[in-house]
Amino acid sequence: MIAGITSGLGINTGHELGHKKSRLERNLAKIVLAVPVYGHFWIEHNRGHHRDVSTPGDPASARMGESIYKFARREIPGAFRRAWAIEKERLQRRGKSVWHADNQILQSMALSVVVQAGLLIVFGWKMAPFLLLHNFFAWWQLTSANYVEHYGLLRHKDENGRFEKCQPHHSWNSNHILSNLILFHLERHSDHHAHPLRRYQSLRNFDKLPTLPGGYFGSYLLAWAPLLWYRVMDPKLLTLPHINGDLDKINMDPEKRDALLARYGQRQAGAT
Amino acid sequence: MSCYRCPECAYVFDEDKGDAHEGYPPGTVFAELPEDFACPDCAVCFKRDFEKTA
Repeated sequence: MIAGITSGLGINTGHELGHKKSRLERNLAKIVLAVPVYGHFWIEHNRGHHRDVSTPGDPASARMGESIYKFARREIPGAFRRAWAIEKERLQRRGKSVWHADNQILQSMALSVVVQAGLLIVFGWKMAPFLLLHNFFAWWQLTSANYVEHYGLLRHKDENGRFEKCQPHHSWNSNHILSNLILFHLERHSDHHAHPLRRYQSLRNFDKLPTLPGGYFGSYLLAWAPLLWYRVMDPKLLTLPHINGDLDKINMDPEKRDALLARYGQRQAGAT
Repeated sequence: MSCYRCPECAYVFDEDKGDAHEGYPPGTVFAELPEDFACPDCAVCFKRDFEKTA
């Protein structure tokens, strides 16, 4: 479990490194992401999530009324599919098959196989449950972070069907010292999405941004109890200045739409 | 041939060089890139946001 938590933090380190332009940092990112078998994350995140963040189609942006457990079932496979599609397209432009050795997802997966199979060979099958648990904890931390970072937030679509550029109010932030120290300022998330290549030391916190009720780890705990999460977060979401009770400006779980409209529609009518 | 720069992260698409990793060979004209071309480094800016530099 400790190893899993460490690997989850490793994904976060991989996240920071993966955003950089230098080949060394990018390769380090791929190695650290291979440990919890999450090699597709580098492509998925930089090329997929940052492009599609806070739009209804983004598997890594949570919708209002969507519990973290439902989100995980959409996010984990969705993220992999998107990464695979992006890499497939890139290889096709280069005239190569998606199964070519240049596939960066396969490269990272191969490294994962070597590491995890190596451990199984050295320690035998009794290692298997530990590996599964380790991978699960690492993935679950990432899912938790993704869940809280953009819950319910929605970018406006213009008349041409294009989404506006990601704005600071499209991410939830927190600025607590513990999360800041452990997560490399990941929770100064608005600035990260505005300037993904900015090094973590330089990320800034601003007033009047959507703010989580606590630090990241406290917010994860809240997210794991969906009813409490909704009770705290839904009113916060609705009272954000750019939303001001307008349910059309929220990224909403389509299956929960009627229930949410019934519950909060009154507020919308009263909004100015 | 011209260069086009991402206003967010300063990635430059040089038509002379193309971008081999992304699968755009040397001589690829910027205008021929797909409309949904997103900056390969930051993915914040799209083709329409790029600025011509030279």
